[in-house]
Amino acid sequence: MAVKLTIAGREPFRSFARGAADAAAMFATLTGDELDALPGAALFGIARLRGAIAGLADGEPGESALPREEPDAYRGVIAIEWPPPNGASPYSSMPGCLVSVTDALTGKPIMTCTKIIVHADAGALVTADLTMFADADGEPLLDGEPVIDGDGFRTGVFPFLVSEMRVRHA
Amino acid sequence: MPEAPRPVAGEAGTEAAPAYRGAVIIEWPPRCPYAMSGCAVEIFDAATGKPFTTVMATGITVRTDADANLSADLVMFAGQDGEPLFGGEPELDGDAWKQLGTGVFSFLVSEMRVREPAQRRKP
Repeated sequence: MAVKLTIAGREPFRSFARGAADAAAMFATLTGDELDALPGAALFGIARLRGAIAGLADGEPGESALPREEPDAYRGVIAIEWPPPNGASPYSSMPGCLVSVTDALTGKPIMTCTKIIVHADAGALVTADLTMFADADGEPLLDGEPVIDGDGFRTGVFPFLVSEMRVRHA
Repeated sequence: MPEAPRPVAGEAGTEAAPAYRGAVIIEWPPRCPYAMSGCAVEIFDAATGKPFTTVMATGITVRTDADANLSADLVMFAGQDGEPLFGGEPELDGDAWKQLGTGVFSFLVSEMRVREPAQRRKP
């Protein structure tokens, strides 16, 4: 089962862009006196927002570079549960086999994941690329029998949004 | 009894260990409705407990293989010698600051934490 996340009927980036455009339009209705009453930091923010939005009506992002590439087709939202700290030494690291992944919407564990790569860039949302078993259509397999493909099970790498990190109690 | 030969990195049967630069603690923000923001993630030195202020982006690679440990690849500022900067200000002369670069450095992860909802990040 593939879950496609939408916010207000749009994918997250399009929803964000629409919201930013609405905010820019609202700021455009402010009078000169109202703008004068705002602190400098707010005026700076409004100017940056206008720069980012400029041209969106024509389908062209502004100079300050809202990304133009299509967003990843996230397959859902997950929570990741990490093992407790080992405790003996700061250098006693944690084995990856103790990490578990749960579907944040249904609360069901995802047992078909073989590898997790979490991306936490400062300017983006926290996402995770899950290497999972795939079904006959190449979609992530959340339950059921894996598909034999060549010498092994069919797998794929699927991006997910991460909504929660948990730490298991010792 | 003759002494057993010492393993050499890269020979058959042995593997050179990744050049980990230390061990870190990763502190995640509390639960979010849909997705959490990457800028709310904080990295601490596991040995000293001090925060890393020179991390620009985090790519945390988690292998769920039984024989692999959690590791984190951190995009950090690097000095002129290519080594990661762990804080403070680099000692650079003149225009040398223009040569200040970044690098991707691997760290072991010794602990994951989740910030309490009421707990605010320190500036």
